[in-house]
Amino acid sequence: MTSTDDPGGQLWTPARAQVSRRSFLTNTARLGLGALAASSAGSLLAACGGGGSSGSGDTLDFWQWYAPQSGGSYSVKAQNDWFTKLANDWNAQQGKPKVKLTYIPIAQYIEGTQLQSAFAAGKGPDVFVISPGDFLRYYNGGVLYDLTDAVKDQVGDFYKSAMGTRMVDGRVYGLPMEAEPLTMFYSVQAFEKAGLSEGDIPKTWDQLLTVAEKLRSGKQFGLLFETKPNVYQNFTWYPFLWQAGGDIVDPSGKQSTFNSPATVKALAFWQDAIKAGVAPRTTQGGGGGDLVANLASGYAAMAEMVTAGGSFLEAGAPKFKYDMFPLPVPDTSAKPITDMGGWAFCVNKNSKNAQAAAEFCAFAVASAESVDRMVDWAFNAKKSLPVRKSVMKKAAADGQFDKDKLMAYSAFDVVGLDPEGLDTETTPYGRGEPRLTPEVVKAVSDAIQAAQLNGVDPAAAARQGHEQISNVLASYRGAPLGSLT
Amino acid sequence: MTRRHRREALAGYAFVAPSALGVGIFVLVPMVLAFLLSFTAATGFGQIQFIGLDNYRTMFGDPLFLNSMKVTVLYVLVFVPGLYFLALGMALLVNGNLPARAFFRAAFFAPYAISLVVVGLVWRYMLADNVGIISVLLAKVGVDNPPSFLGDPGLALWAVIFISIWFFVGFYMIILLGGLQEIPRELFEAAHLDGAGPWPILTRIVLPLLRPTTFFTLVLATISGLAGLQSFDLIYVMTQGGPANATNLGIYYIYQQAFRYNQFGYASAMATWYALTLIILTGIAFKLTKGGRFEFSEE
Repeated sequence: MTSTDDPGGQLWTPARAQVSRRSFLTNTARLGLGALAASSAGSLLAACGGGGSSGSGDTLDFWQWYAPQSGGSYSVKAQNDWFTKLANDWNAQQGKPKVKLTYIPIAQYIEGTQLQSAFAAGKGPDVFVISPGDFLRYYNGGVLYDLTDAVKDQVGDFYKSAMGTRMVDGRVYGLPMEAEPLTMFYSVQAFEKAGLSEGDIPKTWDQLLTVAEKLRSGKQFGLLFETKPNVYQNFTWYPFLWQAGGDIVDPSGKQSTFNSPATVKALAFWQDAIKAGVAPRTTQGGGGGDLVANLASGYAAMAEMVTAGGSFLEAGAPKFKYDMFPLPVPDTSAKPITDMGGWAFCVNKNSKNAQAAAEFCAFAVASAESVDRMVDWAFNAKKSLPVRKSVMKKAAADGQFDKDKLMAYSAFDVVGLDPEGLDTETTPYGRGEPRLTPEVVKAVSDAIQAAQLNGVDPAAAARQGHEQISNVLASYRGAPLGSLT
Repeated sequence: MTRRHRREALAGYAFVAPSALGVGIFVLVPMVLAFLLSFTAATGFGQIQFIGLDNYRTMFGDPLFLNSMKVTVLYVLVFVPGLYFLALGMALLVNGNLPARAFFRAAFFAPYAISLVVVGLVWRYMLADNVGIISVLLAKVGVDNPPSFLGDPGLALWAVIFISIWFFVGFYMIILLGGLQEIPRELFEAAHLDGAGPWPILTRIVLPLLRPTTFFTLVLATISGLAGLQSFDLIYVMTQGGPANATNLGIYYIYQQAFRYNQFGYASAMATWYALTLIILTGIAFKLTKGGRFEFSEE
């Protein structure tokens, strides 16, 4: 074959080959029929796939975003090792289905479609982890197994703020493994450069904006709040709503209370940060929670994130000097309430081994034998707070809080626990992330976005959000919304 | 039909059969199933309840759906003509006597060879407030407070449209270039001999004879824009529908309803609506142009 050589720069076209019409048609027919047969066989084979859950009679398929994975930072390895050991410890027992760990990258797990697609196809995992924000989607979808009998009398060992959002009508549908309270991180270097010291740490919202203005310089913003419209943005905004005395729904969880002065105040606070130019309209890297990309890089001098963010900074930017302070409050009379995220073990109701899966979850995070395991998770692997009194007391007895300043800060300064009274019913300042339906999450998100980035009057944004939430709740028949204080 | 014709027909059918089977199984069947799903309330957890036209009724009272339609229409109205005229300009440029013509053809096409997710990520970094290269360059030329291209609801959609055009222009340039090269050279020579300048040549020779390719390009770009097949990646990576729903295209809202809210029935209803709109618009276009056939009469 030769190409046509056109000095005018024509696109190359192949010359015609020398074949007869008869041989072309004959060979084409043979090729086409062969391809048709192959593709039909392939399609038929593909259709022969079986249905049911992803696990088999002998295994418990456990989907999560921790293990098995290799490489990464110390915390990634520690979390991988923890889950692997957990599975091995369970699998060493006789007469139980074996746990098989299935790793899904966190971005795909939270924002992707894999979990939803699996459940839609009837192939959801036997065991999986979910955040409080997702609890209602799965509970109302009828796929959460009742874990109450598996947990037995251990329910009282959990702080109410953690367990409350995983219970419906006194029954347990998720076992929390941790609590991740929000706090403010700041760059020590930025503070020193601006002539600020520990005495300038802001305690109120106004002080925070004032300090942020002093820290703003050149390309550096003074303060960073999440700006992407997602569940995480809502999660980081809720503390300011609560501090102002407001809430999304009433204690029954069935009526919207979103249209309130407190909501307006909280929305206005975030709007003011953007209007003043001290907070950016976009975030770097993986979003507002990516402290390495947003704080250590010098993009912002202060940023809101869960206390476990300290471990991310130590892994991703070991030379970066940072410190933390509790979330500022609207005025000095307000309680420094913070939001506590944290993941929970759940069981698929349609699992072939639902009962064994429930026993595994209890074994993993709720049993008396799991205390040391949960101390290891909190203080070594994840740097998130334990949610059980027994685990807290064991950690204190082992001197863990003396050795780990970040965890001590998280437990006693942020969440307000008394080192001498870890047996309290709940966490004084730590409130569990509320469980909401996706439509209510969207309504709150729209209100935040409208006020923060679109300059909408916060009162109008609150009214609009309230109307949307009320419309949703008018025909809502699922479990109550909200969170316990 | 003679035996020869039957053999030819059989060969033809056998040739297209694998492709037709693939399209049938992976496109037509899901389309039909999605259409049927649009009449149900399906949570994605196995609960499916027939609810008739409720999803369609909800759609037209849903402010977020209406907003997504508005955003999508705006996107198409700017994306399609912007893409066409830029691609045409570039095709005319590389079709002429431009030095290093081959290099420019490759350079203009290069963005199309990159993954759209990578494109979104890189542009996100370039457009970052204060520290992105665009903001830095703007500051250097005296713009004191560079705008937030992805954080300002008034700018974000334009930024996405610009990036979409930047990504696709090379591909459409190649299509139009092919159309330009189909135009007989004798017509240009004759026009030159008659003393015609560049503008009369463009308007009286090039554009009329380019009509079939123009039609194809515009239909393809409109379908791509309305369906949002490519823009989804950019939205997912760069803005997630924000800020304040400013880039919440129809395709992204459908994804949110299905995979964030578990409203598969409602999402299917919206997808059906968009598919129907596309079929009607494409049908009108083909009808007006008699199936894309353009007949030229001598003047």
